[in-house]
Amino acid sequence: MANALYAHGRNEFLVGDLDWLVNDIRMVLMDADDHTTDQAADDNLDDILAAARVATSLTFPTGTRTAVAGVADAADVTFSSVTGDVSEELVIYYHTGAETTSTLVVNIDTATGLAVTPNGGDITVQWDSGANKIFKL
Amino acid sequence: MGYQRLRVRQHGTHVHVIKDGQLVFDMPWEGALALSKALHIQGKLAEADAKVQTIITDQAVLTSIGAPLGLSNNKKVLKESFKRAQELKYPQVDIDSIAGTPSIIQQPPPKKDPDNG
Repeated sequence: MANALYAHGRNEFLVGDLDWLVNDIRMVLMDADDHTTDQAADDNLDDILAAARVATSLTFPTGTRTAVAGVADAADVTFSSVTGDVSEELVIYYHTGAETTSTLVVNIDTATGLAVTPNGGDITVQWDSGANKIFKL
Repeated sequence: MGYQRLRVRQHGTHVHVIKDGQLVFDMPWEGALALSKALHIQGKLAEADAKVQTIITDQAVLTSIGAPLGLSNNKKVLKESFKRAQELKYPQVDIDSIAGTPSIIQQPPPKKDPDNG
């Protein structure tokens, strides 16, 4: 696979139900042994089994998020004091407060340092400084 | 073919569909317009299925030259087009690669408090 947006996430941007700069955006560190990603079929957070969610970040700080020429960026994100299974993927999602409506946005399975084995310390995700940053619509 | 025996006619504010001389649909104009729209959408989907091999080949060419155009939103079709691009020995550009590649930085585990073992 490759790093890519979920079909549902793309559509939510398209119909104006998802605002990168305003909405509560978070990220999950995911154990791919407990969930097989399907970017076409997975739409909301409840599609990812709780057992597969090794850690969940806090809200991406709104003041650091940018949207320029269709490219989304934000400050680096840190998962604090992570324990649990070896994790192979990152999932950025729109947190609505309900798993059944929390839209999956981006799946990242290719990153320097993935898979990562939690050791109890913090895990920081440093975004790509290239053209696509976090993702490009 | 069956559909050649169908006739569609306006009848006042209604639309009639007549098959072999028998009235099979009598619907108000709003329903006729909605039905025609639905038929068009389903027809295009059926056409895409009928022409799937052509779509796969065309998508393979577009993908290979880096054109950011999707001829289908069907993941299976897109995956097949990537395979076709390889068979055709075109250089590959993955149109799904629109997310960046981050780096994961892991901090060392917290030190144990010697007083608490």
